[in-house]
Amino acid sequence: MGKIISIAKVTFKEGIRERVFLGVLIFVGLLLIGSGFLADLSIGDILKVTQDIGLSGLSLLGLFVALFLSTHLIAKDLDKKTIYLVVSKPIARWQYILGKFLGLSFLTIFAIFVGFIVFLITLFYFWKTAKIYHVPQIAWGKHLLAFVYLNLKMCLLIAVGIFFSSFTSSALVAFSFSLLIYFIGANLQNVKMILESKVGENITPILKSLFKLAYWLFPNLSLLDLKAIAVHNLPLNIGNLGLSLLYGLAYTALLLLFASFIFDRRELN
Amino acid sequence: MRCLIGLICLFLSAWINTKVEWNLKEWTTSPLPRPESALLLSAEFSPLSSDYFLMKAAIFYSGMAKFKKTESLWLSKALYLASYLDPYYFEPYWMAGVSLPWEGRLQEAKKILKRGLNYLNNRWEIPFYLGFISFYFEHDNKVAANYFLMASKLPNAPTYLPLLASRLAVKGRETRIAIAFLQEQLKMTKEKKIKSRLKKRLKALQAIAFLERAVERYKEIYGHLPLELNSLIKQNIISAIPEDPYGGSFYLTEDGRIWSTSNLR
Repeated sequence: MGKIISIAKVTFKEGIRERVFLGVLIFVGLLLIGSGFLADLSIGDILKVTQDIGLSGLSLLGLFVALFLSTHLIAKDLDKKTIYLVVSKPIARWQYILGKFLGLSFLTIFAIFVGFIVFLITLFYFWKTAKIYHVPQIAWGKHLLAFVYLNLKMCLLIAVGIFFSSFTSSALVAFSFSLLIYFIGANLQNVKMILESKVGENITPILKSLFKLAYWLFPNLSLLDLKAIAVHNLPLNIGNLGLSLLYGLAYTALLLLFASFIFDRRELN
Repeated sequence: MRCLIGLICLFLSAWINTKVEWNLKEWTTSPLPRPESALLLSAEFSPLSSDYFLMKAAIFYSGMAKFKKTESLWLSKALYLASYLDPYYFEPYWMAGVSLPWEGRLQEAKKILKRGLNYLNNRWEIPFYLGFISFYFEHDNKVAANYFLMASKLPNAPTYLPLLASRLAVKGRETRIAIAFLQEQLKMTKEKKIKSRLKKRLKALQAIAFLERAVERYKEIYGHLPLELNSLIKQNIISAIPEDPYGGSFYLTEDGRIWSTSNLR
């Protein structure tokens, strides 16, 4: 366990030192602070738009840190041969994978947490000072829940990034594949909805079966996306919430298992 | 040399900036994506896309004095798109209910609002708008009464709604109900330009209500409808015919209603 923690610590520090990490954090921070002013351009309920910009900004921040750094840091280890320092020590490769995963997860959670605090302060300010006909109640508790599930989603994406890094040396290839998986995963629910609507009647059965296969195979990221529930204060189904949590954890564990299985058999030369 | 190039670049960019201006109309009426494509492209950021298209529609609506058929169609498509991308967002329904019927887009407005009934089933405004369309534009009091009744049972519905539903059968109240409807909508927006549009419509309807009352008075005194609106002035019932803010002139229809040559558009 101690070995895993020390790899996690090193990964965390390495990530923090990346200049691009700081750049993204500052950019998203400014976006969050400016969200209320941007929202002022809209009609009616500006708080809804403030929350949309805020939560989407947090998603973007998490996405960048999770996908970019997970693929970049492992490729860097391979490229600069620093991985030999690790694998020559009595550390199993699965411990390296798990350590990387934990370090990157802490880094992403840290970045999203900083963003979330800025978002809450901004939202509270605009909520208190909003001059609109009907000032809606903000579902603070559900926002907190959305934050927790966003972190879980990002951990899953880090596992995706590590999975692709386990068999390719190119950061760009791993990043592109991870981005593709993210894009498919974020749209599974949307495609399902479209196929079930009138538009879906014209789609061939082969395509529908292909989609069913994809629905089983790819991670359904919409399950971990609680933005709409938080913004519109929609009713919460505790059962679904628990199952989604389990789904996220199980899928992440599965990817990490695959990654360590592949990485174990990989020639490092 | 470097300073010179820098200065030239600065002047060039400043000059271009004064020459080129984006045409707001072109920006707003640019072709809209299919709702399904927009949903897939925006993935988890679809609420943000919804905000964007609604903002576009609002800028377009508040910036136009008169709508061509293609323009009102564009507006209805943009609002449908905004409601499709974030079905729990109330504002697109609000805008559809308040703008589209007056531009002759009844079916489009009803399509958007009926979809909204499935998602926002605790907002009284949506059945209220549907009822208003049935009542004022389609003269289908039975359907309208049902919608008003549906609206009256939802949280925060105005207390006059059940009364409104029961009074629908009474003739000649359309204008006054439309005025109440617009006054309700005026409270809901802070956007100055949209407010001024609603006020303009309200002013026209108030003028119609004023003339309707004068015609009723004329009928009470003489037992029949006046032949033309000028008769009201001749008989000293009113001193002048109010102006139509849309530039048309008011006239008396055969069944005693007041309407304008501008069609209030």
